Amino acid sequence: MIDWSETHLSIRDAFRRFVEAELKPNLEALEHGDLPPYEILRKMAATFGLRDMAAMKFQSDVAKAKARRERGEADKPREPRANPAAGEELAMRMIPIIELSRYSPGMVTALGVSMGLTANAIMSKGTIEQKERWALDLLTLDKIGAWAITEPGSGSDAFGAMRATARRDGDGYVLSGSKTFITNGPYADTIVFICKLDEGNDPKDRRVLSFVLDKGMPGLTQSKPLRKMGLHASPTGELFLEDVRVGRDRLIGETEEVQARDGAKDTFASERTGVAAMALGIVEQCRMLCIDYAKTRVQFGRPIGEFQLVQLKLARMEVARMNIQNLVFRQIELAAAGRGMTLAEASACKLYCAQAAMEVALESVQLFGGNGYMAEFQVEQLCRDAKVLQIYGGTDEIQISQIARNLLAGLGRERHLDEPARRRQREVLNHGAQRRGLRAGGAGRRRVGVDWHRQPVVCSGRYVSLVAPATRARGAEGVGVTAPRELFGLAGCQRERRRDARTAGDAAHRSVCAVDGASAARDERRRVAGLARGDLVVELTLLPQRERRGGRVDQAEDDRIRPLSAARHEASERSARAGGRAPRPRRRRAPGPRRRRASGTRRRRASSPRRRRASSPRRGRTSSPRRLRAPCPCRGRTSSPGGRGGVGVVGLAPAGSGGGEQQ
Amino acid sequence: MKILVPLKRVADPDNANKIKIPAGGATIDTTGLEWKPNPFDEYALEAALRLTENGATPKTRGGEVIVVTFGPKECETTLRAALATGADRAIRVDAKDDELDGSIVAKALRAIVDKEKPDAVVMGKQAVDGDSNQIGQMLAQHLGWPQATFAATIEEEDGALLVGREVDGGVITLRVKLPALVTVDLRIVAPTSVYSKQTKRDFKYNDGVRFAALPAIMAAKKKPLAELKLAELVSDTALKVQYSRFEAPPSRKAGIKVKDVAELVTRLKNEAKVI
Repeated sequence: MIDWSETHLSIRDAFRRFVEAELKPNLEALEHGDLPPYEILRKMAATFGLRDMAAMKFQSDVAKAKARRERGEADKPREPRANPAAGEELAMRMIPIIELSRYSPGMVTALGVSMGLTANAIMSKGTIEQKERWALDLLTLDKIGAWAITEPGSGSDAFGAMRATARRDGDGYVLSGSKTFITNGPYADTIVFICKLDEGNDPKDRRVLSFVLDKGMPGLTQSKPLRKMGLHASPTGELFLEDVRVGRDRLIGETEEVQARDGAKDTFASERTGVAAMALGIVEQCRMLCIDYAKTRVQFGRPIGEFQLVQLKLARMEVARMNIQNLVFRQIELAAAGRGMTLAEASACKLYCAQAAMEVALESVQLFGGNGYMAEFQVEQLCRDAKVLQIYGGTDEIQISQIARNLLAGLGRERHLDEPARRRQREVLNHGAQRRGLRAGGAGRRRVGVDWHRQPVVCSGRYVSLVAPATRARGAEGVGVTAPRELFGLAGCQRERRRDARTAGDAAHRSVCAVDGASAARDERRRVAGLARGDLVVELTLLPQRERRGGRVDQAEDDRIRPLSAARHEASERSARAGGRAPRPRRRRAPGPRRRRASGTRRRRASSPRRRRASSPRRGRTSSPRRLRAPCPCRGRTSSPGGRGGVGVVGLAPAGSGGGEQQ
Repeated sequence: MKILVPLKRVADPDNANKIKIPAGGATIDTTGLEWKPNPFDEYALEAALRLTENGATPKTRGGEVIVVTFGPKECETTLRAALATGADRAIRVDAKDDELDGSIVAKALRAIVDKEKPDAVVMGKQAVDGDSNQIGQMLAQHLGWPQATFAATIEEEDGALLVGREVDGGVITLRVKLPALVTVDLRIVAPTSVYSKQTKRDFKYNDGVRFAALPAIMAAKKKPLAELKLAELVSDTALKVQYSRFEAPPSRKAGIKVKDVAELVTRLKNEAKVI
């Protein structure tokens, strides 16, 4: 997408006309008169048929869900596939955001929180009955919703410092706690309240649950709007809950197994992408106002646009507008391709757009001079409003740490380990790297798209046919452990980690590593590890039952790491020095009880290629299945959860062994 | 009822200062201008839509509205916008702006009316660019139809339209038998200005021109849009009106300050010659 289509432009014109006719005259009352935005939003939804569209989509979705339930099928997660209609749909959601933001970004926030965040929280995790009871009215704007997560003591650290609690009480719960900075809080009819289940355990181990509350429930107090710097069109308030009694029917999903954390993460990603459209509206409007002003404001006998310092401001505004617009287009393209932004990409996008909007708005005030400081010239309001983009939906600082965490994924996972394990991890990762004067962690990894059932999408080299994870994993439990991480350190891997929980009994996730990358350093590391370029390594983790929550793999499990054994590493190093051969290092059993082998078959599977390998010269490796990795001797020493789950290498194949095209 | 609504795109009147006149003044430089439908034509379309529906259930169409415009391919945007607001189909007569004058357009419209046989032609009283205010009257003459110009209200009756025309000091109400031609003024989009036979007389429309709903904008892409050649409609395409010279309005001169009332009176009398 390089520009808006003719249809987009007609939609834009229609919204622009509406905003100028209905919103602009009320701007003063919205800004300084505490006029709630909802009537104008409702009028907009009715005028453009958004209300009917939302209601129709809701009815058809619910009808489908009911039919599935009657047939006894579980909700299927949607397969990502190209869908141009989804792109159009996103464009049609973004255009009103852009047009509203030109005058009142607060309207977008109020609308987005009610129709977006709150309704989505119920639509994504709620039962059909809950959707019908609350979500429809939110989607049609008949009712206003609020999504309550932030607390006086918990902002960026939303879950860690959360103090709001739910205590079990008979079949229901008693909720208490206070929330602040809640958009639509003062007027909300429906509130999604996020809190922790108090089972008398340590607060940081508590489960996070979401409940739906209605205005006027005994014990629930909604404050008046708080005074704030900008964004006046979006009423923000506090919520106080004192022993609010709720039935199980108000617990989203009606089961404690639904984790509000996951939902909140999805919400953050979508919230962050919405900021791009808001920033575009603010920047477009500032730019337009500034160009007009630069042409008409005369100082020293000529229009100020003739001064280069003013031109610089205008040029930078145009650059920001182009960049933000391109990010908006990218989101539309991604949606059309059946994908979305990853959390890290959305964070990067939000960070840039928020900062650019703030800079443009501030510069606009400067360009307008004294007039810019006066409320009469809109830029003052846009400037105050833009600031919030750097704060809500994750502060700039949080976005930066998200991006960095993603870039340094190998290193970032350390924080999930305890201190001794982390130290070992660092030693191990740095060991080989430092020796060669490289940085540990391996930057510049390319993602390899590997679909389980199909050919790898992007994967140079050869491909090993893979067995379904569940089958392998069942046999693999407790058999062996390897860390593709060590391949990262050694061979320059690219890897794709996917989660699979296809059948009720299986919760497994797998990592696929393609050993790839072209550089002398990588060749060297590959040689040391005894791998060839293009080899594909698959790691499966089968999680024991207690690790599963609602059929999903716990995120923490995904983030854990099994460090490479220093002993093994040294062995390969020795072998490298000894002339390229990489015999298996002698294994020292880790302290602690001997781990159990799950099955004899599995053991044979794991051991036979190793035997063969030990007896065959290294050069022969291309003609036989490559060794399977044996248990990592460091296992017992780490605090990693590997001890609870089983990890096994299912396929580590030599180049060509899958297709047999060599030799 | 079947209604034909001619539309014209005009340079955005809110950005009139963008219009440039090249040296010589024989033409207008139209590059960089934003185009909008002529506001009176939008009012005419709104009136036509109101005449072909029951106001309470606007989604069910009770007649047909055909929009027609003259101009290059880009004019189709104007037509699509009209289709999105509710018109049923569109016709574009391919022509360049400098091939057209009021007489040619009126004759071409006559040919279209002969072909389409609408029950009425509803059009804006004038275009806000040239302000000629003549095509409605000329077309009625060509067709030999009754005409009601400057309409502020329209009420549909059996086989006729009851049209209220605002004149100095009051309203003249005319009954024109169908087929008829009506040109509309700005008050035609007030909440109680237009009633079709189906619309209850206590129904109130929203003030102003309606907005196109999103699904309608999407659906407008699929509505029929025919293209005709000007030469197929008019045999004599020689211009009867030719513009000889354009001139921008004089720029305002700087004001002056006067010392006292006496000087003010003197200057008003001698220089401004207003007293």
